[in-house]
Amino acid sequence: MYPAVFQNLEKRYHGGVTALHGVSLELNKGEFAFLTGPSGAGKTTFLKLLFGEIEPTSGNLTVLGNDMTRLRRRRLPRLRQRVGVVFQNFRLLPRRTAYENIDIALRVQGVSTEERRRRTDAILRVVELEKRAFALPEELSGGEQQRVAIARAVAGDPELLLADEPTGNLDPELSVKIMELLRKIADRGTTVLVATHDYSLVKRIEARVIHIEAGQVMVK
Amino acid sequence: MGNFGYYLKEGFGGLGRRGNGTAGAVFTVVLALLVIGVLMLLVHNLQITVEEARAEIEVEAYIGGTLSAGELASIEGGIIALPGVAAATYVSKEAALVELRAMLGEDEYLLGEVEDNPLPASYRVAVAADHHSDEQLKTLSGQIAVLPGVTRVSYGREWIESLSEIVELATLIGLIIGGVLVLAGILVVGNAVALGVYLRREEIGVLKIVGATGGFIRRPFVIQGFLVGLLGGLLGVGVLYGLYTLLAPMVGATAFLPLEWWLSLIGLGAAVGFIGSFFSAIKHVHAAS
Repeated sequence: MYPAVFQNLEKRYHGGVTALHGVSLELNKGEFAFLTGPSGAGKTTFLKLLFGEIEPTSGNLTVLGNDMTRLRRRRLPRLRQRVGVVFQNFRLLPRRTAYENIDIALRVQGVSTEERRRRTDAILRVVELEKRAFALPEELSGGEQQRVAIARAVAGDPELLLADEPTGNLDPELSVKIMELLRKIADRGTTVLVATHDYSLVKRIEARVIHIEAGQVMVK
Repeated sequence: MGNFGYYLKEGFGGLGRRGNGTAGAVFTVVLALLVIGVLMLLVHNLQITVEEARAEIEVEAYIGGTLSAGELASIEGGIIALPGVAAATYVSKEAALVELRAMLGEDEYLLGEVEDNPLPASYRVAVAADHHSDEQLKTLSGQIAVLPGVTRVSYGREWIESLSEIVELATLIGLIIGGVLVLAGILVVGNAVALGVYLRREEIGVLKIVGATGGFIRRPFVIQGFLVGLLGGLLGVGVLYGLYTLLAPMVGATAFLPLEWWLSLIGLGAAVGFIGSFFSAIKHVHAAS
């Protein structure tokens, strides 16, 4: 079963702007793929569709077995627990430590206290932040914050990980490290889709590239 | 409920945060409960007065003409046999006159011109404590009135009834004012929660992204509202008690609210907080992102 299937999907915003049209493709289990294209091409729309932030206008989209054209609002939280999302501006909870930011993602799933502790400690080691666990986001560098955001996104063992320009605010060296981290996560069986317009990064990593231009998709 | 500690901590955290309308909400609840509490005190003390008055109620059964000892005994027996009668005391014509003279005091000369004793003999009927309601008194006096030899029955009915009416009116006014104030409290708590949700909208957006359910996001706000109400209730009753000890001697109040009443007041505060925050959280968390 594919984690995500697009069938002749179209997304029009209010006011008639067509963000995507004629999109048909599958994301494969455990694959690492790039989503590229110039700013405003529809990359963010593509990602938002995948975590249920917006609904398709027409066509079909299935994410982890859920028909996104008729997904009940009540079922959305459960789906989001299975889809990790990483943003360019990190979106960490400002008044909470790195540890708590990761812990909350497990808390919303009702994971037990011991299990949360075990998994949060483990994921902090994976992103090499065990020494910064009790720092607040404002005390962390951009790269550190992004690693916390990634840790939060993968703490719940999602089947799908979406990253929207995850290195957009980071310098090139850090960007490479973050990409390697995301790559490693895909190796563990999670489908990882990374939206970026940084082609130098895309060239460095062997991966499928889903290119969006003017609302249309080309797979390379 | 593995997350209950988290909700509680978040709820308390929200309570302590400045500038989110919490203090104003507590203040409103205190004020509302204070007004309701004062009305309750008023009603309670009036009730006590009515009860005391009822406890002293005697039904007086007047007896016409001059009756033989045998006839009197049969009237007395008839009265005593009625349900709700505690005791019956015979007051002779002479005794009634003596009482009247005593009651008139300096105005006793008014009786100087009276040659014959115009006062009838009577039985003073003490009513059992569990037969003091208006309805029971009415029934009892009716039963006494039909006994042979009894010409008229009286008791302080009008006075008791008008006092009862005052209590009922005060209760009604209390319910109306209380209802309005409770509604105001609910709205103010709801507004504080709405503001809290607004101030934390980014945080809420993140929680939604990581898959938090609506309930998970709402519960801290509901707990916060509940705590606002509870705190308002505790402070309100505290201030009410302070006011009572200060002012009761001046206005002649004799009793603070009974335990169940002031506990209900605190409970009312908590309920106001819970209801206000519950509906506000449903409405606003849903919309926030």
